[in-house]
Amino acid sequence: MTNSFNGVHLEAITKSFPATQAGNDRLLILDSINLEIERASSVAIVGKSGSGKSTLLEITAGLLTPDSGTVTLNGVNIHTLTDQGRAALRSLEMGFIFQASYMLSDFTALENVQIAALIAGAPKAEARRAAAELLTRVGLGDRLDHTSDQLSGGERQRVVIARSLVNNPSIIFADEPTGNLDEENAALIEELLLTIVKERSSTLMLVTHNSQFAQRLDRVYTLSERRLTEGM
Amino acid sequence: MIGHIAWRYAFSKTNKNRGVSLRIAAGLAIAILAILVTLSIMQALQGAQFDLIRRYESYDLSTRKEYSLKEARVLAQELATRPTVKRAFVYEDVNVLLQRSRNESIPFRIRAIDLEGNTDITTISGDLHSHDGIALSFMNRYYGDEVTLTFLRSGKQVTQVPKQQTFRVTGIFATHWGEFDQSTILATPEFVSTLIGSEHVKVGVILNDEKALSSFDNEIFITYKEANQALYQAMELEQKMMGLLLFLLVLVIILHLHTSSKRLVHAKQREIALLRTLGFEERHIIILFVTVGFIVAFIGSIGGLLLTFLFFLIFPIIAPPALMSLGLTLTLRSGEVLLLLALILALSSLGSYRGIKKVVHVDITEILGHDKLL
Repeated sequence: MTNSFNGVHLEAITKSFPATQAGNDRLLILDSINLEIERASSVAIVGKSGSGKSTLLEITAGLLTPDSGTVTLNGVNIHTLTDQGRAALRSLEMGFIFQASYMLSDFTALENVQIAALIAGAPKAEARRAAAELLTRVGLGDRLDHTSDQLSGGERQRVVIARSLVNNPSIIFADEPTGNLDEENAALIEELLLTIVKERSSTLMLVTHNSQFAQRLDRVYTLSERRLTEGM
Repeated sequence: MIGHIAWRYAFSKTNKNRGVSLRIAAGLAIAILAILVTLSIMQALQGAQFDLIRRYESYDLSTRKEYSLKEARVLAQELATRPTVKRAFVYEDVNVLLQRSRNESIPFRIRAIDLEGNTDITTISGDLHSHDGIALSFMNRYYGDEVTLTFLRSGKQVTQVPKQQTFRVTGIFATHWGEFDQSTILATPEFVSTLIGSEHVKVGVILNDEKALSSFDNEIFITYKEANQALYQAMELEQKMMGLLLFLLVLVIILHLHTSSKRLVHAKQREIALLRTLGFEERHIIILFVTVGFIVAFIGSIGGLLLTFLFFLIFPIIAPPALMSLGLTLTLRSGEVLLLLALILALSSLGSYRGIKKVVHVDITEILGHDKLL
């Protein structure tokens, strides 16, 4: 984790999308959203489907550009960075966990995690060691050489968690990480994610439908009617 | 690391695209084999043909101007003393029509030449140096027969002052070159001079080593290649056209690579988005997929070279005896091979680049977030 990391600050974030293909009318999704995510804290965003939760997460992570407003990470508005700058930020400071447990299909679990470290510039041996250690930590020590089609959905999501953590990111963005899993696996992943985040004092921004999961985080925000309010 | 990922994308066993990559690599290998083998056989055949022409047309160099017989003999003797000269001799070609029957005449040339020391022309019977007769090859007339020749002026289809004369065949010769045997009559320069009433001959020179060509004054001597430029150019053009035609094969395969690159990028959209979240820049994605194309082309090129060397090894075993009797030596011109490979690799990379350029701009959120974007 970057020592200088002091949280993420969202100020007056507004985002709209074209309402029609012609794009003349726009549908406002987020309206002047302010949010402060402190270092080593965990924040859950809940809300109905289509309320704009994922959009908010993607703007915070620099994957989407807001119509107006700023996202400040370590004192820098991430949306003013170049493609190169944002790529470096994603590699070194951010970890991503999506609903679908995407892996590079031609690589083993170990390689999937290792690649994230290599992209961040870690030496090969160090990347391999860190990847193996994290995969063992998420309970996949005996599945290092398995490819995505040899792993179950829950196991794949555990690989993704390991991959998101391998570079010791400042902040982890998790978008419905248990959304595609059965109850048992969802509970397992939920537990694992929260435990590891706590162990590593990582910062977590979670988007979920699951209110029980959300309540286990430090703070919960509800996104409704384009506005963000604290609590459920 | 990009190379490592590219290799997996091209040839990983779990990759559905692997079959396409292998087929493209195999196609390139076969195309390279076809190009290199065809060109080397053409070059060898043309080389053999040139060698025959040079040997039997009898010179590497010839004087540009004609001399009297006496002057030419002196010059030939002088040239023969040079260490780089194998043989120097006087010669002259006179175009004639040989009357085969009452209604049939066929074009021949009388080659007036000093045959001393010429080991390429073999005497079958009689005397090739007779001062009162001519020598024909074993393919045309038998020894002792009479032939009627109509003398033509050089460059004309018909004589201005037709002159017809009958000669006795006093010698029969043979060479290793059928075309020479079919169309040449041999006679001594003195005998030909008396026939045409002129003593203008040239001096031909055969060198020990072709490299010595440059040591001869270009104003006095003309090389065989210069004298027969049209023939050489035609043969070179033929070779280039064949190379170009075969290169179309490569272009078709590169088009296939271009299409498959597009397909691969489409198939890997999610992984591209994933790599972007891991810190890959757009240019890294482009480099990655161009590298995939490059690797496939490189493997194909190496395969093509290996197949070509294998073909060269087995060529003496599988080649028809008629070809081998020409003494063909297959060689690869390293410059041409390198140019071909560089062209293939560059075009493959360009084909991949063009294939992915428009589709590589993935919207990460669109791909990873699908329908829950809103």
